[in-house]
Amino acid sequence: MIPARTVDPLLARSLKGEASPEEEATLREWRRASPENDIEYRQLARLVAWAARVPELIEVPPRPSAAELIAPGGLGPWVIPLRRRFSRPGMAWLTAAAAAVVVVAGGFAYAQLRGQPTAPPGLGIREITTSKTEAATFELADGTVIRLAPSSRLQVLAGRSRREVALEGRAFFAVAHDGTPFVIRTAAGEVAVLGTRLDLEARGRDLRVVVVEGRVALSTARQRTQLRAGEMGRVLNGAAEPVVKVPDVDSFVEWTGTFLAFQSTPLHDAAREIERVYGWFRDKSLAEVVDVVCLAVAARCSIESGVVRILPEAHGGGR
Amino acid sequence: MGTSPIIVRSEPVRRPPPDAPSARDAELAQAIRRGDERALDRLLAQRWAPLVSYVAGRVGDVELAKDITQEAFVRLWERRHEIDPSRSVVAYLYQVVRRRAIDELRREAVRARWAEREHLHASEDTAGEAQMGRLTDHEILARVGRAIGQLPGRRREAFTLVHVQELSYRDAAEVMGIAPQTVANQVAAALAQLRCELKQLIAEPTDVP
Repeated sequence: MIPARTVDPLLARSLKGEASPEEEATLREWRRASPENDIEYRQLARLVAWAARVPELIEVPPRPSAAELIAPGGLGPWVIPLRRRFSRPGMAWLTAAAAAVVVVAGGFAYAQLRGQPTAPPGLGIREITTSKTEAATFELADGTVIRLAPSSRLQVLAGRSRREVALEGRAFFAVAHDGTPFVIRTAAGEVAVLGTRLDLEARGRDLRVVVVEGRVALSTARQRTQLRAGEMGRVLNGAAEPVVKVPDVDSFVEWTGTFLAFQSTPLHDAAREIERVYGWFRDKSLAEVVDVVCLAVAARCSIESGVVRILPEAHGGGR
Repeated sequence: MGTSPIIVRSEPVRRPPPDAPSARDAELAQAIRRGDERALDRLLAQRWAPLVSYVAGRVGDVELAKDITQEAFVRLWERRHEIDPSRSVVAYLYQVVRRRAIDELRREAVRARWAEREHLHASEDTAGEAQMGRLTDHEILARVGRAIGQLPGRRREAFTLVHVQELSYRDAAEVMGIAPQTVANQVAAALAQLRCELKQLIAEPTDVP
């Protein structure tokens, strides 16, 4: 039989997008150690990609709807269950007009600041660098919201028709949709998106991008790959790796903490994320969080006995 | 267009609590438990085709697979009040259909059907061997599927759940009733074996060291 090596379980987890950063680092070392190792990894990645398509061999009958399976009943509103209730009132922090984007970042009133005329237009900031212990949240003039992780640097590149930034480090992007591509340049490759949300980490010639919503094009000097929501693309030492599906996208954006950013996100997806993050809003009252969220998704909200109901509004708007 | 940032603030990093609910699965479980039909629809959209193909792969009959899958969803709905939100509904569905498939496999008719299929595959294999290198996607998939089907029991099951059905290691472990680490070991062994067996299919000209 084939003898097991210590690298085998690492390979198995990495191909699934479930390896820890330390394990990925060990694996990178292993791959750099010999060309055979690198080839093995690539072949396994191809194998796994084929395996995921094996269900195509079977022609599956159309799926029934839930209503067909169960006794038909009226559809209720989308309901967010809350794990706990918070009694401590937070600061009054929401006066912004209804917007497609809401950011709730720990410790400061972002939504209130957004679009305030007192902020000097075109502040002239071309570059933001974070230290080891801070993260930064900011918005570009086009409405794109970026959360920059610690030890990262982002430059805004002036372009006429293109929206372009350069990144070294890690950031979460909620890119506003305006019909032109938004390009993120890194030393390892380039990521082009329309309206979408993604987590991108670029260190030297390595890159990792996880798509939360929408589609992304990843280009290196030699290749171009398309990525969809729930997929992860990697570049190692300048070369693109096969695309891997990630079972839990949330785990890649957890570093952003008490932060939510949506760009025309469907309501039920937004609801899921709000629920994920809500448990972390220790300093905000429930009503405040709900207020912000409902502005963001243009919905009517109510809170009754610890349950938030969000009903989509027919005509965007708000209040 | 101008892209200068208009607002910049930095704030200290806060780590999320390690036990923070990680997922869409938990949310789906909660919603179904509450009787939210749309959550069931979402689960159907996500899991119907993979489940039917999973069961069909085991029982060798798509119609039967459809019935078994449908029953599993109905059962989940009927017992929604018993759903444990800390566990995965996806894993639950696979557990249910897996058990049913095993029951079905005990029946003579299914066994006979399998024997027939194996026979069919064997003849396809010899026919296809000659024109390697010009295979259609479908032919490649058929070969990959066959190689997976010929893996030894647990290894096949672990690999199928993790890479064909694309369950997480955690969910696959729950379905099989073994530790995630054991699943990973089985998958690792399957990967090594499949790579040997399918070398010609997955090698590319750029693979020369």
